[in-house]
Amino acid sequence: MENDIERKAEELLAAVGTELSKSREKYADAVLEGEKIPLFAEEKHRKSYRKISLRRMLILAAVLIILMGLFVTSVTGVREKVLNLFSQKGEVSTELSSLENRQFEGQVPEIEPGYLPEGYELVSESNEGFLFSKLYVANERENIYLSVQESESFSVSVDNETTKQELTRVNVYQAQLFYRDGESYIVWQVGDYIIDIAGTVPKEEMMKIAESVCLAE
Amino acid sequence: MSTDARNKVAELIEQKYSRLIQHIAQEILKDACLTEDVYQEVLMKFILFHEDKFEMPPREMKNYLCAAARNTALTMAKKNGRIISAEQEEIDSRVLNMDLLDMEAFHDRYGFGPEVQELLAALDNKDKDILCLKYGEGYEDREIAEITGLSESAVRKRIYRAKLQMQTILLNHERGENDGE
Repeated sequence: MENDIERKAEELLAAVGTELSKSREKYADAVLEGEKIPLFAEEKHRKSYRKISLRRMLILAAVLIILMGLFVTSVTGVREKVLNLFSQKGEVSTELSSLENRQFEGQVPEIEPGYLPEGYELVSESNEGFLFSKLYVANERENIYLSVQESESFSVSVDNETTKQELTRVNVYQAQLFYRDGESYIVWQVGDYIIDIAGTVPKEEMMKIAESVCLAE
Repeated sequence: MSTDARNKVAELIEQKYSRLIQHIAQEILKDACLTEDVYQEVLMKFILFHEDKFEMPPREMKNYLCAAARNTALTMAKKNGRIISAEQEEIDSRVLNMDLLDMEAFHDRYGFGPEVQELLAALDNKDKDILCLKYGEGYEDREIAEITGLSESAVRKRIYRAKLQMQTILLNHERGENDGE
C-alpha cells in the first residue's frame, strides 16, 4: 500500500513535470510569435497583499512609537532579550550565545546540532543568504534536514489529517512539533529567525536534536 | 568550446530566442537596461555551462530559457533593489500563468483526477521549475540548481517535499474514496 502510494506519487510528479514542460513550450512559442501572454496569472490577491503591507507598516509604526517613547524596559522587552539567546547545555555549565552581538554579514546565522542519532553524516550544507541548511543522511534513506531562515520569509504547510501536532518547548522557546510514524518536524523562532528540523526520526529523538542546536563555530 | 562555437550559440539564441528572454525579463524588471543585462547573463551562463547541449532540442531550449530568464531577472531585481519590499513580496508570491497547461491530459493520458489541482496549488513557482526540468527534460539536480539559483540540497529538499505532499494528497483521496464506499 505504502509502496503503491510512493509509486503513484512519483508517476504524478513525472506527469506534472512533463505537462508543465509542454505548456512552457506553448508559452515560449506564443511569445516568439509576438503574442503578449502574461508571465503571471491574474492577481487575485493583490488587495490582500496591500492590506498585509499596510498592517505591517502600522505595526512597525506602533513599535517605533513605543521604542521612542518609553525609557523603562518592559517585561516584554526583557523576554525579547532572553529569546535572542541560544542556550547550549553542557555537563558542567550552560552556554548562552546572543544573536545580537554576532555579525552575519547579510546572511542568516549558521547553526549545527550538538546531538544526532548514530550513523548520521553531513552530506550537504548551504547558505544562500536568506536560508542556511544542512542535510544529514544515514543508511541512504534516513535523513535529517535542518534550516534557518528569516522569519519574514518563512512559510510551511503541514497536513492535519495525517500528522499529529503538539505545542512544546525547545529550551526557552515555544515550538510546534509535528509527527507521524517514524517522521517528525519541529519549528521554533529565535529572535528574527525561524529554525526548523525535519527528519525520519521519532519525536523524542527530534526533541533531543532540537534542544542541542547551537551556533556553529 | 571554441570561440567560433560560442559565437554560433550566441547567434542562434539571438536569432531564435532573444525575444523570449527579453519578454520574461521585461515583465519582471520593467527596465530596458536590466532586461539587457539579464539577456547577457542568461546567454553567458548557457555558453559556459552547456557546451554539451549545443544542439539542444527546441522544447528543452525553451524550457531552459524560460526558467533561467525568470530566475535571473528575479535575482537581479533583488540585487539591484529594483523592487521595493512590498512589491517584492507580491512578485515572489505571484503564481505563474497556467492557462496553457493541458489539465485534461492528466486524466486522459495518465488517469489522474482532482489530486493534480491540489498538487499544483501546493507548489510554488520554483517547485514547478524543478519538476518541469527534472521530469520534463531529465535534468540532474546540479543542473537545476544552477538554472534556478538554488543550492543542490535545496533542490533535493523541494523534490522530497513535493513527493511527501503528493503522497499525502493521494492518501487523503484514497481515504475519502474508502469512506465513501
